[in-house]
Amino acid sequence: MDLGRVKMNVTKPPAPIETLKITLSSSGGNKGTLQMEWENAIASVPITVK
Amino acid sequence: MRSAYCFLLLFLPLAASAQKINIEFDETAHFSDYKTFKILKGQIHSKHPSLNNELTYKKIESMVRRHLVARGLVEVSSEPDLNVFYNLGAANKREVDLYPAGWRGYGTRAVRTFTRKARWCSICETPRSMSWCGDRLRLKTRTIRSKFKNTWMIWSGNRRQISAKSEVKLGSMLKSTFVLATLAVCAISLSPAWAQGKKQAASPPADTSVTIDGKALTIKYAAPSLRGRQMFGEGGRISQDSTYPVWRAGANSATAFHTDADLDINGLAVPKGDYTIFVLVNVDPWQLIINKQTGQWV
Repeated sequence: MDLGRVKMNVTKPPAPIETLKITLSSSGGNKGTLQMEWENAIASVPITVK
Repeated sequence: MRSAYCFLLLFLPLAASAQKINIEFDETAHFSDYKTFKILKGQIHSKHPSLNNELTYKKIESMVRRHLVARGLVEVSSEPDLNVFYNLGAANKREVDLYPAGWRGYGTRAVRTFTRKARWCSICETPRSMSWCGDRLRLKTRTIRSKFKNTWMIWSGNRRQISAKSEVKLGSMLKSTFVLATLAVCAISLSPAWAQGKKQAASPPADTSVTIDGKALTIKYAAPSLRGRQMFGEGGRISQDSTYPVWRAGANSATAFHTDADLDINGLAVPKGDYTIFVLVNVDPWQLIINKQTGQWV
């Protein structure tokens, strides 16, 4: 029952990240970001409130 | 003579199956949660060259390894989910009990009990919580599925226990009898509360939230740590998950996403509500999966 799948922006951190961290943040206005960082990856998607 | 032979043949298998095994384990330990193991150097308590040699170590280690690998566990050199260690040997234990004996109790009777233990093996969850412990009875190894779901254990080896009882009446005649007994050695298991405390510490609950345009967005997840393991990529820990190539983006329970607002997530329309999120990790770039089902694995 997937609502959908969206591509993530994946980058490499300078050093491995020990513990999984998920962050929701505001980028101003009606925009925000969902970010996941763990081990050798920082993956994020942009979010817009409609 | 012939009948005696038949009797022996009949009796031997009976005697073998009559041996009793005692295995104890932590009922809260789910072996399906463990993915990696490491075999620590075992201890041999015997000076007998047939028992205390390098081949014995190798034999036990390969038996343990075979059973764990057959269950899908991977051997690692550091930070394993399971530490395997074993004790092996013939440890002699002697107990002396004194009783009054003889006419009107003038005299003492000493009963000495010798117990000879052979091999036993135990597996421990890292760092020090014991998941199961059992003694070994037979040469052939086998796996036991316990009555508790998802819990299993292995044991193997050759164990013979002889209890020799000698009775000595002090100051008078000496009488000794040998009594053979098959006794099972009991083992210790860890208290469930302790194991739970340890498990929670491995992937503590975490959450993140933000308010955008006056609407709240929240993600609740469990935050696992690398602890020396490789996660992503080929051969990584996540590639061994049953859900692979979908990563649950957390640990323990499903990672839950709640939004009070109708959203657009990178082009996907997401109405306000509750969702479970996953990440598809075998594609480049990764894909975030928004799933309408909630409450998985809780």
